[in-house]
Amino acid sequence: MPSTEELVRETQRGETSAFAELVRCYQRAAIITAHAVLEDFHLAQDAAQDAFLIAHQRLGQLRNAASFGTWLLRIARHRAVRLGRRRNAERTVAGYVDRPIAETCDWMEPYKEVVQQIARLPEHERIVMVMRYVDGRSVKEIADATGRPVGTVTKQLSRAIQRLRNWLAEVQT
Amino acid sequence: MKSPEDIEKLLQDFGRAWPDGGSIVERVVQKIETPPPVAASKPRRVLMKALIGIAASLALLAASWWAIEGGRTSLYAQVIDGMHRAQTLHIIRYAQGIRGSQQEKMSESWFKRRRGFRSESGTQKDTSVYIDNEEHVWKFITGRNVVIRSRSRGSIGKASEDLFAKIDQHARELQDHCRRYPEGDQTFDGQPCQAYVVTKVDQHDHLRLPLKLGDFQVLHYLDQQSRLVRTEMREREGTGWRTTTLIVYRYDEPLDPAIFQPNFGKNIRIVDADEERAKAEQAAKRTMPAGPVFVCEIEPQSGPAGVAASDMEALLKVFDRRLNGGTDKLAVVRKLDDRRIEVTLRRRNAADQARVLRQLARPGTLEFRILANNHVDKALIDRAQKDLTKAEVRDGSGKRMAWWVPLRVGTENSMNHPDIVRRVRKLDRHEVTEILVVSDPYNVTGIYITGANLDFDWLGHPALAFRLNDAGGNLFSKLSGDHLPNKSAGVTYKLGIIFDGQLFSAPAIQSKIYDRGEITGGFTMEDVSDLAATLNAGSLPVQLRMVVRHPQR
Repeated sequence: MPSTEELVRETQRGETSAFAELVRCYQRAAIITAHAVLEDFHLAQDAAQDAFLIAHQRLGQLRNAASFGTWLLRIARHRAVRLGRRRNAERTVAGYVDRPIAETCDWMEPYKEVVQQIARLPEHERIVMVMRYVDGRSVKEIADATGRPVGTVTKQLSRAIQRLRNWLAEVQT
Repeated sequence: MKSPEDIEKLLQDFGRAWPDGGSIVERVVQKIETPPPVAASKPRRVLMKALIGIAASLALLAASWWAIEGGRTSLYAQVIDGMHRAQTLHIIRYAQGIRGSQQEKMSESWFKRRRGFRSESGTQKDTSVYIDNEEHVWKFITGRNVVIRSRSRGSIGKASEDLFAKIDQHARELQDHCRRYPEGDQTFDGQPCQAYVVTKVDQHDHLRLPLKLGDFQVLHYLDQQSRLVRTEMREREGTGWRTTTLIVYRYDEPLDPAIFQPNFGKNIRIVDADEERAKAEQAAKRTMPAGPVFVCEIEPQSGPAGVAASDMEALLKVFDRRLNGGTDKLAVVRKLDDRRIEVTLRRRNAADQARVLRQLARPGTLEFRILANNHVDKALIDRAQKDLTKAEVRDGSGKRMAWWVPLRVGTENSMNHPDIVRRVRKLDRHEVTEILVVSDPYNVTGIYITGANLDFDWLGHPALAFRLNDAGGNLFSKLSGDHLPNKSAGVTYKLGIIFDGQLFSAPAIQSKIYDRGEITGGFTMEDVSDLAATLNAGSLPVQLRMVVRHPQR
């Protein structure tokens, strides 16, 4: 599996399919990041989509190709904040509610808490957590994708799990 | 406080619950403009310029050091770089024929960046063809009248999976377990190539021969640009060597664009996989008047009376996923009290009612076992056939060595291959056909499944695609790796797929299987949807005795 760095290089050479691979790889992490701000799955998808388009336009400004993931998540967060502001303004002006949230996002209900906490993790840990447990990738696949050694990925995962554990316990008490 | 395992499970459940329509890949790709992103603009700030100056000086220093030291990148990096530089890639795999000693072409793949990917495998008569022309993916078997079509997600994905991964695997081997082998150097296509011989082989890696290193050899050849051009596996024969497998890699070869266009002739039925999935989802969304209501009364099979609250919650989730986790949404599940669950059907029809009852009662177990083979398991088969009243064969210590598994109802006339051991047993008024399977140390079961979904096989029939987690993939590769065809003895093993104690299908193992697979077996779309939902939901949290009270209205 090509690494993020290789995919970024290929995208810079004009390979749209390489960028599609990057989207496939990081889309859930981006959506989760945006969801923590917007608390709406569909809007979070829109924010993530915008983030990928912005990232594609500005890929030439990315100095370290391997850090594409963390860079993208920061863009996704900014984009989500802007979308959130716009939504709130629209709601205030016209009492406008864009989608019947409860009806379309039932499946998110049991996971809302953990999604909020994942979004608190540092970007590099958030990426490996989402790839490992939400995407179901193996540690080896994550190491290949992120260009980090397997040992590093394993450590980041265990640290992230510990953090989530503490945060979830805080929420419950 | 939640344990780490609880958190992992919660996240895995979250991943499984993620809707199929949740992907934004297509939307993003559609919106991307065709011209590539511009190269990094020149930083204007003075500080940036200074930094770049320093970086350039450092790079110059590093380059001088490299020139003085004669520094070289690793063999792995050189091979991978060669692969990534290539605009086209063409790989041909030859192997010794199963019955003769002639080399036969087993598979061939082509890839051209931004144009497409094509692979062909199988015999001349029955060639499986896979084409991804960046617009559509086409799957078909030559000579058959069905073609499976789906939307392309970019041919580089498939090329990475099929071609780049293979070269990467060999490049790692070259780096870690090879030494230069000058006596093997040869010239291929007018290019002198350097030979490297493998010095250490993991038994479960890509060779499964019951031979010791020395009785067989693996050679990799690199051309002058350090590109992997050939991999050869050979066995000792007398004083010389006999090639058993040969893989040829060709880079930057001019490829005819026509090979990325499907060429399946006329009178072909095209199954559009995306459309079929969408239709099934659409049908599921149709709102209909609510159907009858069942009440499931539940008691644990052992232990104190009543069901623990956590088990009840888990049970509700399992029921909900089994009934609503497939393409079809069948019922609303609700807890009535500590021992009763109410299931309200979304539609009033007999077929749904039967499906719901089947899904509720299903144990949801899956296992993969090797079928007993007349060539290899003679002694075990003799013992099993000696006393046909017994369901299994145990060794002296009581360990189960082989057992009979009933064929899935309705498929009794399948699996008539002479290598498969079967018996017909009378049970009350009807007969049950059973197949003998043998034990293995790996015990690959459904607990390793991370996801299952509806797919289509090469003939356009609905099939169940599944994915295993790390541990399961590792065990599955060992199980399949230990049972690859033994060409010299003419033995091919069959992998039995046993769902809820019934043998659903038994494909022949042709190559190592890792973490993905497909289950076929004359299923309907509904069958596959229900099987996928059951596998995704997992098995029941506790052993339960369940009584279903029939419709109240």
